[in-house]
Amino acid sequence: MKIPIAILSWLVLGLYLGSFYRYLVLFRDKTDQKASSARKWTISAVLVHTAYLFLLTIRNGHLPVGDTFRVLTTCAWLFVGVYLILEFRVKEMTMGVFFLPVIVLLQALSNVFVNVDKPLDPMLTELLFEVHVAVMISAYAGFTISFISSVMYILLSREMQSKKLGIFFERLPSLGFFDNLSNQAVNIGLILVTLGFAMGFYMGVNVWEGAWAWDPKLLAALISWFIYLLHFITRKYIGWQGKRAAIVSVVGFNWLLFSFIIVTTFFSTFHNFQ
Amino acid sequence: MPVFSFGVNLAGGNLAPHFGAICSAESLRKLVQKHSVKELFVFQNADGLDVFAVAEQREQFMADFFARASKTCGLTADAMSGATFRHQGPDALRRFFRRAIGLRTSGEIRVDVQTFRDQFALARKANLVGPYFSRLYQRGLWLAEKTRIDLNLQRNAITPAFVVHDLARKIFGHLHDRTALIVASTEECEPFVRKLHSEQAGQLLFVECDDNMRRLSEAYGGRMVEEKQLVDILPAADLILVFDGQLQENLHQVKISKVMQKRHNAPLLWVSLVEPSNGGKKNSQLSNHYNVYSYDRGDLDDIVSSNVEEHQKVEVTVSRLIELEVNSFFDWVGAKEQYRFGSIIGKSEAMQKILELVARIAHSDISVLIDGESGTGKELIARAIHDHSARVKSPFITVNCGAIPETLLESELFGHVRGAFTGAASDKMGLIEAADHGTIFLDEIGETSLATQVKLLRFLQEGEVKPVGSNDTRKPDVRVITATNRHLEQMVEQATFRQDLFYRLNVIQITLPPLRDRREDILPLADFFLKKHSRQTHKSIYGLDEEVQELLIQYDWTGNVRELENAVEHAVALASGQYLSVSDLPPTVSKRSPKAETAYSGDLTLKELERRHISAMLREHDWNYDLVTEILGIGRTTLWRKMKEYGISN
Repeated sequence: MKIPIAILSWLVLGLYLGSFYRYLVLFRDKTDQKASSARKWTISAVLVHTAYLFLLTIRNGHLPVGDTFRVLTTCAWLFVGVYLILEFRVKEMTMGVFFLPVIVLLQALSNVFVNVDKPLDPMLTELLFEVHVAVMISAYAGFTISFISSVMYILLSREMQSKKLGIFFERLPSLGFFDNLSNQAVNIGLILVTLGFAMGFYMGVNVWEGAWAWDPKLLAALISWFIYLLHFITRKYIGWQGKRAAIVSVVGFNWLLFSFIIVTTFFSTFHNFQ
Repeated sequence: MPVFSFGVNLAGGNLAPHFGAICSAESLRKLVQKHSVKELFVFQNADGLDVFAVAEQREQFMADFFARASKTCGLTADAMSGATFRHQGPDALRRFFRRAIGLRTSGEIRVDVQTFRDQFALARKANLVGPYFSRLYQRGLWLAEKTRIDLNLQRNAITPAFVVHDLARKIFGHLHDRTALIVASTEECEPFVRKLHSEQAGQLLFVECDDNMRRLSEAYGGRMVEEKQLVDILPAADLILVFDGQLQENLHQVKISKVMQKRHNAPLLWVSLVEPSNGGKKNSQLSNHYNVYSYDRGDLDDIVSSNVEEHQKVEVTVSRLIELEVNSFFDWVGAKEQYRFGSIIGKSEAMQKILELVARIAHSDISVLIDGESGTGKELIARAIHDHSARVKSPFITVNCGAIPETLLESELFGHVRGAFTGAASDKMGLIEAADHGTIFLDEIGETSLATQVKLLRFLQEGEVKPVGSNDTRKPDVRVITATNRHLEQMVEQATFRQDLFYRLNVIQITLPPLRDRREDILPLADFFLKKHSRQTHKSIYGLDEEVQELLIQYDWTGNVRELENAVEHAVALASGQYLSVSDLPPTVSKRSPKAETAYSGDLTLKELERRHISAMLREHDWNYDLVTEILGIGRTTLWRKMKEYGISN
């Protein structure tokens, strides 16, 4: 079963690359025909991905959230699922070209770290832990969507303020659309992150018994939580709408990425999968 | 083809609510009947109506249309016809295609293809359009798609008003709950206001200056704001259009950051349309705030001129494409053969109706059952349906169920696997599967056995075929058209044809009338066959002489079109002159004197004579009761009574 899993993991990556290419072509040409082709690619990628995760789950006997490579691929799967739901609901496909690279990146990283049979700490297969990870991933999916729509907001807004209307003006939906989408995604992400923190806190008290209070990874996560809380408060009570809210969202997402990379490479942390 | 178009262009007036009344299916149908219009398509949009019609008498129809429209709208006929255009022939078609692809002739009209589709669907539902417009519509949609993909035609706004609208749409999405503030003292803001109004902007605010503005405000359902309140009202506006230089000075004194604070920094579109010569200075405050999108007249002009440049390039290409379409349409219509549909000739009303039906059903995958006497062209109709459907590039396979031995029919249709029966040396794909994505035409379906019928029914219901001797099923995507010259209803009663299959096949029934019931088609058909066969035999024959024409019309074509073709082929082969003469015709045709057909000789009672005469007259005039009553000199009710008495029916 190891070989089929390995094959599937690369097939999934290939399919995501293919659908990224389809979205790219769609962004360039914008025709109905290409739209359905892009969607078909994405859906088939998700189906194969589901099979892949299913096999992983069966093989290990627990949900694929126990270590880095599993989390990354689950992350990709959840993200793309959220994205597809979004795409069906708002009937707007231009975002795919910005979204699929994130998925491709996640899946590629996952494939680099792949190690199917590494034994896991039994604590990491507990249900509460699995839910904790799943909730956190979903929250990050929300932040990613907010990031992407914020980037598009900034691109479109900049083009309009420069008064030279080009491809973004032509292809993208309205600023109001992105603003709305980004805000909703942040709101949902915030709720989920808070929930995930609560669960993590409960587990942490039981497992680490206080020694973890200023763990760098937790600290980083807390800071990102504050950034998104700031996004919510400034928008709601100070009136940072539109571009400023978009910038806060972009900053928050960059912080998420950088802190993840920096903390995992330079600091030792309790909060890892070993 | 006498096609023409005219339009009612009612710029400025708010007539949208009346359009429904003018263009209701009922009132249009009345018009169509009154002026014997063949086809009619009324295309309405926010700015006016475009009427496209195929009819002989154009002026009367137009006059009547205007009279009705003006009565409904309460306008004088002069006022309406004053703002119109008229086109006919190719010009009308050009107009049609421009409409179909939403090309803006004046820069003021932008129609999306969806509106066009919807309106055509309405016309189709009301039974106002026929084969001509159906074809034009299909070509129009194709053209719209092509221009949209290849040329980005819809993209460019080419008037400042449209640019402003596009900008607002890009910022706010739809404008339904947005407030626009128009700071103007003259009517130059009118096109902008009209555009915003037609896009259903939430609220229009006008600054009170003079009567002109008050009138505009009323016309577009706006609200007046006093000059003193101008500054107070600013935060409420999402879209500010400034036309007046003096008022702009006042506005420039206002602190934008304060205004934006009051509106919680929600995005604001600020367009200054003051001429630079008229004291229009840039307001640097505007470009400094992160959520203000400010444009001045120069910016708009730049956008417009770059769009116009693009638009002109596109327009040249589009005109060329339209020209091609118009030419190909007229080729299709054919100067002499207007009544052709593909390779089918039929100018009789009965055939026209059938062709119309064919045009309408071709694009769906609905099952069609064609019945008619032998030689009436059932296969041609089936082929026409195939050729006008989206399946045209896939195979069209004809199976003559009567010609294949019953034992082989099943394996022919469904295929078989190796060893399924003696002689089945290898796997063979069935014809149904071979027609995947295309059409299969089952001729003489009445000849199939009950066993085959069961399998056919299964295929029609489940879409599955199972090769003989195989266990796995396949699901080809095939449209089924069937034909028969037997009375399937009777066969169903006699239980030699399965009722369920009959209903499956008979979703749409097309009954081809025998040639003797549509005698006006005989000469065009003969002419067609004459050309075909004289070309094949390299003879230059120009036509039929009058005696032959008479004979052909009178002859009782029991073998229908096929017999006619054979007769003409025979005559062409024998002909020595430039015109076919009676001596060239086959003896079966030439021997029957014209009189024989309608002979009233013999020992007949008066009643029998009357019966024969009435039925002959009816048949000759294609069951046109009005004409027949006139000829016979009796009233309609009398005719009806006598028909009933003698059991004459169509």
